[in-house]
Amino acid sequence: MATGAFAWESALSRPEAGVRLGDFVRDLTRARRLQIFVELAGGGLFFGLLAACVSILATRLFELPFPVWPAAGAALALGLVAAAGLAWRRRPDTLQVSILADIEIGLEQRLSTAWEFALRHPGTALTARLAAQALARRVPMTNIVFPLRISVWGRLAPLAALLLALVALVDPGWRIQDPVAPVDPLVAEEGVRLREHGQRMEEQARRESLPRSREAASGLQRLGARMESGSSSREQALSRLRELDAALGGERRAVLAQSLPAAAADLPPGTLAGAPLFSDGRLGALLSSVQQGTLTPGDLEMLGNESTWISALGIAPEELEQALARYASGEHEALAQLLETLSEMDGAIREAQLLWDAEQVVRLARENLGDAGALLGFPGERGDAADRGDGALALLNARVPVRADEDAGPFSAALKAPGRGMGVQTPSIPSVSPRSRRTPDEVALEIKGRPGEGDVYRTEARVLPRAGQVSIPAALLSPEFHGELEAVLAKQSYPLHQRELVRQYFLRLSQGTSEGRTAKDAP
Amino acid sequence: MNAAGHEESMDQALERLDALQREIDRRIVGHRAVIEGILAGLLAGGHVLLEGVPGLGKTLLVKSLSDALQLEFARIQFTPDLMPADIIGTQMVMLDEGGGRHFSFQPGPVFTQLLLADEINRATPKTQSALLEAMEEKKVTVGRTGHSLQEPFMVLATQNPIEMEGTYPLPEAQLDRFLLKLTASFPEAEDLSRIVDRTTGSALPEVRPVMSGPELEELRALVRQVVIAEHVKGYAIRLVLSTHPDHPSATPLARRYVRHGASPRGVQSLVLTAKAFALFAGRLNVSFEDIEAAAAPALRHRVLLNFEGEAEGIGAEDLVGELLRETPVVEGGARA
Repeated sequence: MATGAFAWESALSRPEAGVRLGDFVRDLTRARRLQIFVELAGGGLFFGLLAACVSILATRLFELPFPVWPAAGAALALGLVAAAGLAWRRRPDTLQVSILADIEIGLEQRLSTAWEFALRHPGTALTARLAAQALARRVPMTNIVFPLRISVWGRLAPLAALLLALVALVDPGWRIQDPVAPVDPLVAEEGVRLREHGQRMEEQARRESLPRSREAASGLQRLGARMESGSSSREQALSRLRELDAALGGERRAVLAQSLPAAAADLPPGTLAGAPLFSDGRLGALLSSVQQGTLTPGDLEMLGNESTWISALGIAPEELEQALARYASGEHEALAQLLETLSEMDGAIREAQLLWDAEQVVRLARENLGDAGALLGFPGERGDAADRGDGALALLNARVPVRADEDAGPFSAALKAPGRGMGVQTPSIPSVSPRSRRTPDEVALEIKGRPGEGDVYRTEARVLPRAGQVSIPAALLSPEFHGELEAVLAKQSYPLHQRELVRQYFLRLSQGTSEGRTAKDAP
Repeated sequence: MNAAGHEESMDQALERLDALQREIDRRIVGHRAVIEGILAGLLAGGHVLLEGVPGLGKTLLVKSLSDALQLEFARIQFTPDLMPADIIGTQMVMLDEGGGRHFSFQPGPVFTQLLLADEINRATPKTQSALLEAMEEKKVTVGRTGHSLQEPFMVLATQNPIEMEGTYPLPEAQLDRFLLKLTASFPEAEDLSRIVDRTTGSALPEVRPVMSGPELEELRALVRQVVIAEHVKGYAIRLVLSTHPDHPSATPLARRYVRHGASPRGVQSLVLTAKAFALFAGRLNVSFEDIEAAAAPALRHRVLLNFEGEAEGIGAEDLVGELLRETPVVEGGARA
């Protein structure tokens, strides 16, 4: 080939025109493919940089659970990979390149005709003549025929890079958190708890075919992962927890309203769990037997004995008796229909139970993050109001009675009743006046002195932790008491001061300053 | 033919064509495109319709060509009372030596090698059509007997575009038989001066015969050996298809003003003429430029305008010009 960038060569000065034609066309093809790649890579770089800008902004503004810079790098890499893929798809073959080169060089189709004949009729005299004719003209070097060019988009890439630098350096708004802000360990810890509970819940929902619970479990896991990643501040996490709390409650109420009669709305699931009829798969087996007409006398007797539980679900005992009588007379449909209704109710109650459990986990997380509203079962605006320090103090001092049954779902009665409901003995926590104790984090303000003649005034106030602060961080507790503390707090909604009491108890246990040794010894 | 032979033939062909062109140039001034078109038609084995106002030297050009070629030449002056038999010949009653009478075919002027059909649009369509068989099949049928014409055979017809009175436009079928339609334009001042010098002197310059019939046949065979690549052929086909108003690739002018696009003969003419042009350039292959140079002469008389097109005075040149502007040389790509 030629020795200089603008050197030309005489094709006829060398033998084997056909071979040289092939070499020349292949060189041209490589040059053209490289040209296409560089053109598209410029565009890919530009759009990749733009995508990186967008990803940084989106991650920060919407608090997406991704680390900022790896996401930006991935967006940039995606742009370049897309450009490379496009270049691969658009790669021309040798004939296309020879046609284009003919036009670029002005060879009057000598090159493309010769190459087409070389491909179709290799080794013929005519092909050799055409090849010699094509190379008889002085042809420029391939990189002159197809020089590397930067597309318009590629020329704009520096601007996109500048934009990326600005986006990275300039804080676009007050909602953007400091990229170097440390991860809140409490938020992350609660995130882990939420995510793990979500996973268990999803497994159970999948096992028992409970679609709404599966969806709720996914939401729980997403929020948990986001909190765990450290991309959320405590306030942001609390805000999302409140939203999720409200959503779970709404979902649970919707499940019950759709499947249970109003009379059965307050029926505790423990009731059903205690009945043989509602034990694992029993209802389904019975239904199958009824449809096949193979119900045994034992099954009929068991159904007759379950009339109390069935009537608790809003189905009159007479209706059951009639269905059994009609079954005995050979008509199976009424009993099958009744069992199907019971099966649907059972599913709804199990789904509501799962959602209720999730609510409790969310509220526990809210509380652990310092949300006083969680104790009152206020997932929405009331909880927000309670986040304000003075509001919390006012609520506490006013000794607002906690109405656990107000928003605690249909199982509240069962939860309160020993030996029923969830089947766990709820610890009895005595009502303690908030003035009688002072937690270590509460601040006492005292004004002493003699403002004038008369009595000496002494004013004392207590300030509850603001939202985002907890009086006793979970990190202070010994890990062996974490589970027990959560089990106690999850069983029932307590007023804030009682929860503080429980926490302090476990804190003392952790510090070895309490005489008690287990949760059962809690006050 | 091997590569060396191919190269030698090409060199000889170029020499002969140069010589032929030089001889014609001795008598004809200017008209480069027309002369090249006639030579292309001659080498492609087609017939050429030459259109131009009177006095441009059309007849002289054809006469000069016949002088330069060692071919039989005949001229028919077409008039309204010309009959087909005046062209192709007729059966005549003849007396033999024994006094007996018999019919004998007396060939008409079409039995030649280079036929000048002067002012062809003055004859009636019936008479014009007498040339159809001769032009297409190179033979004439009289009664039940066919008479072959001598090869090479070429019709060079002239027509005057401005005299409408007493003329009969050539029917579409007749037009399609012409490989090319060339238009002679008015010469420039410099050419006019040279024409005056040459034609007002004591004698016209002599034209010597430089090419025989067999040599012309060799050149014709060589033209057909010029190769055309698939993508160049595709360009020619797309050009012809774009003249059809109903085709998706039709140009805007074609959609609006064309009644019928070019026939398949149009593609044949386009490619054959382009091959001849490639040979003139000493090239073994047809280029896009050859196709573009051949487009106007090969297609202009094959694109039939509708009433609107004729009423608005749209010229075939306009259509072909737009065709060349709008059609990309490479399918899906831009123009070169």
